[in-house]
Amino acid sequence: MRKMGVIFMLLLLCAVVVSAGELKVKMQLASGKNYTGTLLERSGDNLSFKPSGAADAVAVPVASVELLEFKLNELGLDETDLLFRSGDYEQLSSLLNEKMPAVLPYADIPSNLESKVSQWLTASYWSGDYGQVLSVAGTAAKIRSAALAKQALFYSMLTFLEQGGAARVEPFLDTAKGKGIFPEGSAPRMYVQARILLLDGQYVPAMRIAANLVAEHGRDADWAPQAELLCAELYFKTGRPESAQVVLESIHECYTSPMITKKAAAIAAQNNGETK
Amino acid sequence: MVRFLIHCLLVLFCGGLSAFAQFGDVSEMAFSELIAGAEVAIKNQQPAVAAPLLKEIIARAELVDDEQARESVQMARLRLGMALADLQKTEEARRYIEEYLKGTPCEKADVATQVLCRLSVAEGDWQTLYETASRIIDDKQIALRHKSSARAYLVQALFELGKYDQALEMLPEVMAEADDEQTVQLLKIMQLRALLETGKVAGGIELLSALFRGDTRYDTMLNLTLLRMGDKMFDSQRYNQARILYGKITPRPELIAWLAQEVELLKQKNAGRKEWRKEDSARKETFENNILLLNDIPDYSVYVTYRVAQIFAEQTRYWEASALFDRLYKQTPASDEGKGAFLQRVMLLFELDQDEEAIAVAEEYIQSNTSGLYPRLVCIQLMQHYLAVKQYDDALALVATMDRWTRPANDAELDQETTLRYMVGFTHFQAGDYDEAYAAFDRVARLNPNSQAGMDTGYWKAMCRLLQMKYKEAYEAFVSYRQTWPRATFAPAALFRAGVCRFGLEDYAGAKKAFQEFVDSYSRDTLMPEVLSMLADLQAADGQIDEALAGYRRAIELVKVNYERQRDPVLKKQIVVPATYAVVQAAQTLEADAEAYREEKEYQVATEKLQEIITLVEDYLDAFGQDSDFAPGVFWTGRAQIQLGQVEEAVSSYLDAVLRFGKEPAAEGVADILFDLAGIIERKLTPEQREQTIEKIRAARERAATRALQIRLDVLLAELDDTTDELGRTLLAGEKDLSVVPPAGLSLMCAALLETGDVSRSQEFYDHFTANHEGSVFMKNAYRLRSEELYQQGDLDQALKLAEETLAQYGGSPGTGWAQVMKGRVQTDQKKYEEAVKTFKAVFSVGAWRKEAVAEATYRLADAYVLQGDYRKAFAFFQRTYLIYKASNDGLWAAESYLRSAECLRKLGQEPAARNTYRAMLLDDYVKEHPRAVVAREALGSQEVAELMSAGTNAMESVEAEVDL
Repeated sequence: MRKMGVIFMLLLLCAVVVSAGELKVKMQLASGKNYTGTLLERSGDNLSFKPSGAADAVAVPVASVELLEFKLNELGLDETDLLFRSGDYEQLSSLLNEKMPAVLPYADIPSNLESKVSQWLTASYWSGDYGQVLSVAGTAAKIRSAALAKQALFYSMLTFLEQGGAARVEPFLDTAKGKGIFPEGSAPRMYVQARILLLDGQYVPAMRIAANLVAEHGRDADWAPQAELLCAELYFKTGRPESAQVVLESIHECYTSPMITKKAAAIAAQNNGETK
Repeated sequence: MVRFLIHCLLVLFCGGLSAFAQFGDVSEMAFSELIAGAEVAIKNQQPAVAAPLLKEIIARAELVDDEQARESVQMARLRLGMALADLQKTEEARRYIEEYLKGTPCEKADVATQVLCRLSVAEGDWQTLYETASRIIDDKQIALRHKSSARAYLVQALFELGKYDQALEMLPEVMAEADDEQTVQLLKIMQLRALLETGKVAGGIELLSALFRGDTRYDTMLNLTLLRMGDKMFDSQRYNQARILYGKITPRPELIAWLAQEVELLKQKNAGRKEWRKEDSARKETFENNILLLNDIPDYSVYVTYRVAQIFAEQTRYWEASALFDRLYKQTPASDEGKGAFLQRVMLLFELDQDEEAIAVAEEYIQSNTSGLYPRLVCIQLMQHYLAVKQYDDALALVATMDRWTRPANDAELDQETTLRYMVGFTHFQAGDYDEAYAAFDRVARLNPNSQAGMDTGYWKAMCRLLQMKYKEAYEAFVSYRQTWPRATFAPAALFRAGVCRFGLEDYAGAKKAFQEFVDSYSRDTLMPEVLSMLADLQAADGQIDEALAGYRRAIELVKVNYERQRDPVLKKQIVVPATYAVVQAAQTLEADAEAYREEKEYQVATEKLQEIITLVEDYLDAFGQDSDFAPGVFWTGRAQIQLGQVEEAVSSYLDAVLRFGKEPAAEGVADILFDLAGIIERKLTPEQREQTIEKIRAARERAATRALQIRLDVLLAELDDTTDELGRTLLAGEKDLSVVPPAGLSLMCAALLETGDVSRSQEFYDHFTANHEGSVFMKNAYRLRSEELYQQGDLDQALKLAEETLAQYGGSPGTGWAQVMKGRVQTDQKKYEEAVKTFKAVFSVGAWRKEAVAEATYRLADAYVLQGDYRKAFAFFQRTYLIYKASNDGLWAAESYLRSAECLRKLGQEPAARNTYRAMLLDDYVKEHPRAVVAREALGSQEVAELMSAGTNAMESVEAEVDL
């Protein structure tokens, strides 16, 4: 009976430990030693870490940690690669929004989370969650990775454009950094250029670029629908509503992404109102 | 027991399998050898070796009636069936399997039925596959774990049988059960196809997009499947789906490059190994086979791009189409597809109103490509554009380029060259250069005499001569054309034109003959109404009134029929034109006929003729409604009514026409009606009728449906009571939106501005007239206002240009005298005094200008003489001005002339005479109160002025000078 009680208490304790948001990790210290255990919390420059088998947690200075390897499957982040590969950004974004906050306190510590943050940036942008893009970019900044920083800047610029910040984006394109992130002839650069021209009222030049975007990058699963949306809007602006309707019908027929269909509906509503 | 024996013998004989070949005839082998040999062959996947052994086992064991023998037979049957299936001997395999299933024991029924499934797949017998697979799934004896492959077979059967919805339902489960990536891939492709076949395009495209994110886009079979499916969609006119599918296909060069790269990576991965890893070896073989396959088939990239571009164009997505065609041309400029793409792009650029770009690229192309079909096709596009925008010089400039091309090498090139040269002929023709047009048409006839164009040039050459009024030559050409090509398209028209030539040569009998021949031969031709009217004109001139009237009526009836049939609103309006002519001619003929009857005192008949005019016109207006030319119609109705003494009816007809047709500012023809109406009211009505009519007009004005109509009626009323100046001022103050004001009202507003000297709005009125009422008779004041402002700004050239334009447009008509005076003013300012004098003198010779411009012209003529220093002549014309044109411009010119003549007298040393002139001015009732009279008062002094006013007399001064006009 007593034995049963102890076992029960132990199980309960495990449950309590799990439910408190503790994270299973493998911690590699600068000294070269590795420990598996549970991250309990962070308090400033110290981590409260309970090694496996230990009774109590210990305080580990952040500066002494070489690498944190999170158990992604226990975090529920093991499915993200499949979702990312299949381009299911809405679901991916939703999943990452739910799971990633738990690890954010540890973002500035080298870890195996870089790829997840990268996916989070991508998914946030492509699911139209622009506020989240900038927030995740902030997280990415804490991770000392040149590739991630470049990606964060890329998506931040695209987000600025979506939020009416063309004036900020346009000069950036001409800088060396801008040319590196948005290379000449690339789909993102063409998209940005066309959008800026559209916002500036230069509809025909914008249309040319949008058409070339379709011609050169029609197989790009991410940019092809954006190009179509741009073409729909520009056909309205250049006085060809029938062509615009054809594009909108094509978008409706071919894309089920909520973000795309929502944008298409907005273009239709705005321009049909103007036409009337 | 049998199994144990087999196992032992297997150990003994597995290494000796090669010795089997030595045995030859299986009938000589021991039973145990047969079994061992069969087992080894099966294990080593050698069905060809296993098959005869198994057959022999069956043949021998069948003869033994015990349980073990039956087990052996059954096992052998099953394995033989499998081996024969591997050897694709499906019928034989099926027989043995079915024998197994019928026999006992039958412990591996699931395996047997799966073999049957395989056989069905090999035979393409999907219905049998469906039934067999369904049987396995429904068979409760078969364990669940054995059913997964049956489900896979079932899904395949459903798919192949076209039961896509059912296949789609099963596919997720089957994919989840699949063991290997390749099977999953095949199932996804099946899913994709099923989605598209069931119209679930969005789902299909999403799956495609998901499939194509990774290296799947380099799957050769998938790409070729997409190509096939794209073609299928295209052929069934599901263009959007075709476009999406085509758009996903990876270009062949990119595909081959990726495959080659993967082979290279595999080589590096297995470098140094004795033997390649089995899976790597299989992959390398697949990749290399795919490279061979892709190299064997034509490059589909060009074909796919062209089709996608075509679909975009078909869907009016011209920009995307243009971009793709451009890309294609740059990719393969020398191929037919590339050239075709270039041509398509040029056409699309014109469609998109990117004319500048289209012209630039097309011109460059035809300069650099001097042979072949496509330069000609592109040139035709250019030529069509230039003709459409009437840029004839640019169209003709292409001839120099065309002349540098090599001669047409085949029929297709010859046809296009012919078309081009024909268009050159038409360009000259439309530009009015008939000699050049003739030469160009002649060239076409020599280039390709038996073509349609070559044939038609005979007609057009004759037309050139006709329009040059070389009637004899034209006549002969038309006749020759008809003789050479009696059934040609223009044969009827040529006969008509031949008649016109005879008319031009004043051979009216010949003309009548030709027109009559036309009427007799071509009753259904579209020119019939015109020909009937022309023949009727000649008949009327010959006194054949009844025949003429019959002809006009027939023409009108024909037009009515054609009008009813026509749906295009623009063409409907054009069709009415011959009927309008016929109505007017018939009305004139009837009027002349009525006059003749009146002279014969047959008043009743005369009255009937006039009534006929009214009926004819009313019928015309009813038949053609808004497309009728109501102005001449109403004119003739009113005219007839007046002659019938039905003045009030005439006024009603006119007023009705104004109310009906004058609602819009731009209504053409209403001005003439209003002018006639004002004249009738002024001259034909009694005072009582006049009052009644004015009341009617006022009432109509109150009911007027539009502001434009109200203003029109206001202008009419103002003209009748001579308050047009006041109306002009009122309109100027009240009308902010010029678009609702008819031209008559705009003209009064301009006049009001001129009256006050306010020229600030001249550009506004001028632009409005130019945009909306160019050519209107009411534009004269707008011209004047604009010219005056330009003059005041010192832009003499432009002021002069507008004045000359006015004179060119309206000639010496009322309201244009100012233009002649403006010419003189500019010449004076430019110190061209002698020319100015001539210009001013010309004013006197135009009757319409005598009231409005002659006073100013005389004054300015005198001024020109002053500037030349000829004070005598100047004095003479100043005096003429104040003597004859006192009242003009409220005495302005007279007042100025008094003062200027006094100056001339001073210059001539005649001070007393000058003072006398001042006195004369102050005694002249027309000018004594004029503001300028203050100069005279100051010159004389108050005492003298007082004395003068009480005495009231003065002597006339004179100077000897020739007043030549």
